Amino acid sequence: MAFSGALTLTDLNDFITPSQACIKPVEQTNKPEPQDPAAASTQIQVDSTGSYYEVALNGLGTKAQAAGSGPAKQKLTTAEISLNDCLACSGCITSAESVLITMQSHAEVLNFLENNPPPPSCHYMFPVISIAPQSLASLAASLSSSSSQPVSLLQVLRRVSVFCRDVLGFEHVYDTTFARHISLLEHAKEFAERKSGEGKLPMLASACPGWVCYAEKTHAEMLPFISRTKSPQQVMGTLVKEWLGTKWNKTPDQIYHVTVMPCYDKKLEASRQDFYNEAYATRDVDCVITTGELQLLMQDKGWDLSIPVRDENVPCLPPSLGLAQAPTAVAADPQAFPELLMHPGTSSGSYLQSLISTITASAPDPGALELTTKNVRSADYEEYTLTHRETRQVVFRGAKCYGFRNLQNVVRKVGRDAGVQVGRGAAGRLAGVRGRVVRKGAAAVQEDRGYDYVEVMACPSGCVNGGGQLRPAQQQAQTDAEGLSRDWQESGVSLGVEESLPAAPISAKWGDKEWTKKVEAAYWRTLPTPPPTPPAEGKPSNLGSPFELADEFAGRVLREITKAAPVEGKIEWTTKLDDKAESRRQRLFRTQYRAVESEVVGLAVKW
Amino acid sequence: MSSTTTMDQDFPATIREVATLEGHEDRAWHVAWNPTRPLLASCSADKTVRLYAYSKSTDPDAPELKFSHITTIPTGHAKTVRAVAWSPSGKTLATASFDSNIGVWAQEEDEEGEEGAFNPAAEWECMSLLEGHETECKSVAYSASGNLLASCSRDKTVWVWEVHPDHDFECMGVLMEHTQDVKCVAWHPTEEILASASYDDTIKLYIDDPQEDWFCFQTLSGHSSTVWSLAFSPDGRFLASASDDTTIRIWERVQEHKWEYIDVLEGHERSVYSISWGRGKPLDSGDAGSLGWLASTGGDGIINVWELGVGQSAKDPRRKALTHRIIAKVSQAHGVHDVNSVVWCPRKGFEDLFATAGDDGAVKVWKVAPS
Repeated sequence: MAFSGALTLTDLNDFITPSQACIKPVEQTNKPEPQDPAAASTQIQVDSTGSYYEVALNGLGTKAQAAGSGPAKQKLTTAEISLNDCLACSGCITSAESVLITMQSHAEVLNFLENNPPPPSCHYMFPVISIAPQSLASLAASLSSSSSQPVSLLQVLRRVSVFCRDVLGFEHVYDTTFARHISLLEHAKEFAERKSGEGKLPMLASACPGWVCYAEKTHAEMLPFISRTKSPQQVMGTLVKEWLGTKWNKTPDQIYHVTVMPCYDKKLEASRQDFYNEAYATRDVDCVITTGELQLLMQDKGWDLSIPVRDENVPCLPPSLGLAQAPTAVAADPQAFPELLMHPGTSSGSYLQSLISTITASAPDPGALELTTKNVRSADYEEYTLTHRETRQVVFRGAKCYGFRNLQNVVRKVGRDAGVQVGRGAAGRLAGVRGRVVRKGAAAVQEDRGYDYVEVMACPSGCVNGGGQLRPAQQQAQTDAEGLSRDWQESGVSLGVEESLPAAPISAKWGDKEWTKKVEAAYWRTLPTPPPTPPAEGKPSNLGSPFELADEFAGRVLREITKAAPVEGKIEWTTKLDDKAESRRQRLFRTQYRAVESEVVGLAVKW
Repeated sequence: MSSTTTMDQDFPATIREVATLEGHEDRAWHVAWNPTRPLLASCSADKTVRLYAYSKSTDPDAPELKFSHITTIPTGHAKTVRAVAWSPSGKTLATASFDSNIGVWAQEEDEEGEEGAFNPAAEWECMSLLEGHETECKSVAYSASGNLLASCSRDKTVWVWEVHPDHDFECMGVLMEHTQDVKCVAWHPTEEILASASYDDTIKLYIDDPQEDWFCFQTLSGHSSTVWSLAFSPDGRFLASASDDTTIRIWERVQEHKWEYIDVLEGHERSVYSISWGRGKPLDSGDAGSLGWLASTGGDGIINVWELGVGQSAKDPRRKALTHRIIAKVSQAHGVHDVNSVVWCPRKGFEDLFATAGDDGAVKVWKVAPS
């Protein structure tokens, strides 16, 4: 099995690892040949390409030999485990497993593009590529580390766009931030629905497929809490195949949609059956490649991302809004989405921050709300509380929670607060676990009020640190006594005093964190100007003009994609549409989850 | 006393069987002495935990220590209870089960939390269930302060939990360092240093980085097969490891975060499944036994008690070296059966007392005394 070269994880230690219990049976697809009674025993040979052959040993009377072509060889099928097999099996709690990934790789993309017949052909598939902002940040950080001037996300987007269009032949290149904008709008709408009693609280973010997969396999009791809003990748899939497709006069199966993601688990997400269009036998996203695989594509084609392209600093506003100022490098596209909408908050999608902004903005007295944050042990677990200044009433309590360890604690806390049993069900057999009355003072009640919302991400530091991101640039790295690569000077250590060092891995690990910080910084470096300042306390933050334009554009998309009947006034995302349109909205922007039953057989484990 | 048990002579001490505690319906895996009260807990493949009380006998003809069964906790674990551990307070008991969960057991305290009312026979309730391991849990251990709990599993991970009031737990770390099944976790006797042993033949040592997460600061390699059990010396300067390669290795702390192999103890014919390092009661004056007594047992059914100390190096008399000798030995401790664990009693005055659990389902208590 040929794995893509990018498929090697960095030494991150907080990822969910493959399970020993992968018990996918290997199905034999070779048709059994009619048994030749004369052919006694056979043996298996492996040739230089790694192919397996079954070879007759005594070689008497086989057809091939009679024809004089040497010993009879039969090529054997290589057992393959597809993404769907993995999704259907509870054996693995997966994140970035190499076996899963052969179906969606940069080689697959190249293969598709090479075999795509040219446009006049009726078999021509319209190739489109959408890139996540975290992937752009990873590329930007990598470029910046080897250049004197920091490279902005816009510059990276422009350069990658030119590569994808001119070298690879993609028709359109997008970033996924407008899809995220829609995801955030729908997400806020869903939160309001749950708040009003339609569904459970706290609502848990659904954009991280690692977390969703983990919950489906091991914490089915969490599924009702997970937001049913599609992730930005899948919203992008819907926009490309349903909305843009219509504009381009293409059916969904005539479009080949590739996304570039910071995360391997996005490949799993794209292959979920929920995102498969039965009518056209196509997926919303046909192939997901990681940032690392995009870099491989560029390497394969000899593209140097450090070389500027024309007009790479000129932002592009959607011409559809009559504000057209398209740079010449960007082909005039009447359907161009607003680009690089960097929602303030976190680099993992700002789900919590955008919800806080929405709640604040819609409060009767926004100025009276006060936002406080509390760091729970590390920056990967922070609590946000919106309190009314005068009444001290807690209006909203949310948290962002990144990494497998924090995820464990959130699952426990949510389970406890909501009174649901946590885990695979063994708890039910242990008497007394839930029957206990916990004595707590009244003062603790307000403090311990459960969460309304949690932005959950499986990776520590969130998506900028995804498993598919580029590795840190290795510069003047030296190897320490334990073979760990490290940079002594950067660690603040002068050479020659190694004996007095604290435990070596501290610095080795610290290097990774430092790299993640650089990617985080690059993420906020949208334009060649200083990064946006964090939103002022209690003030609606996403009403800056790019976001207003995006809201307007989103309203237009909603009206057209749901074929909504005209309403009085302008259609906004929260506008209540006619029933048919509402049900289309539901289908297009929401999804569902299902628990995967554990099939792990209790094999006789002696010790 | 079991008729098959064989005492080996020619040692400065003997190991005398004090009690045989039967009652488990399947193999007995592990035992844990309560650190503050005269209580012994045992666990088994029969999914139960049995509690025994012991007291000095008043009958001059009877053995000096009398053990009696107090209660059986049915646990509710769906599979084998593989290990048990008492918290340093002696009020809480943790169970590690093949059903992939860790149970935390305690008795409901009355309004004032009075200790006088302690009755070990009263109901033990599952106060918390720590889920997260994917497969069989193999070992569980409380840190010296009782603030942390570690567990390990066949899923190759080691988890560190912080103990909060009201039997609440917070996951502090999921350590995915081992490449195979993790067999044992052990805490340093005074500091928050965690050790784990694995089927990958290595031992990993971990500490907390206050700004970050728990991390592995050293891997100890040397055993040529599975490392089954770990025991820190009571003074915390040494770590012993027991292996399927039939040996016990001793590792010395040479720097704050650096441990080195210093010696190997050979005295078993098969896998060494369990070791325990207690203070012991020195047999003669001097500092020959200054590091205490190490008990070991395993697949050969032998229990060895080693006296460890610091003496002169044979190679270089100016240097100190670890000294060790077997002071007592029992063969066929549980008849023909494997012995799965050996644990010294940690309570003052009982330093010569240890308990074993065997595949015969029995728990035995033994006393070491000069010949």
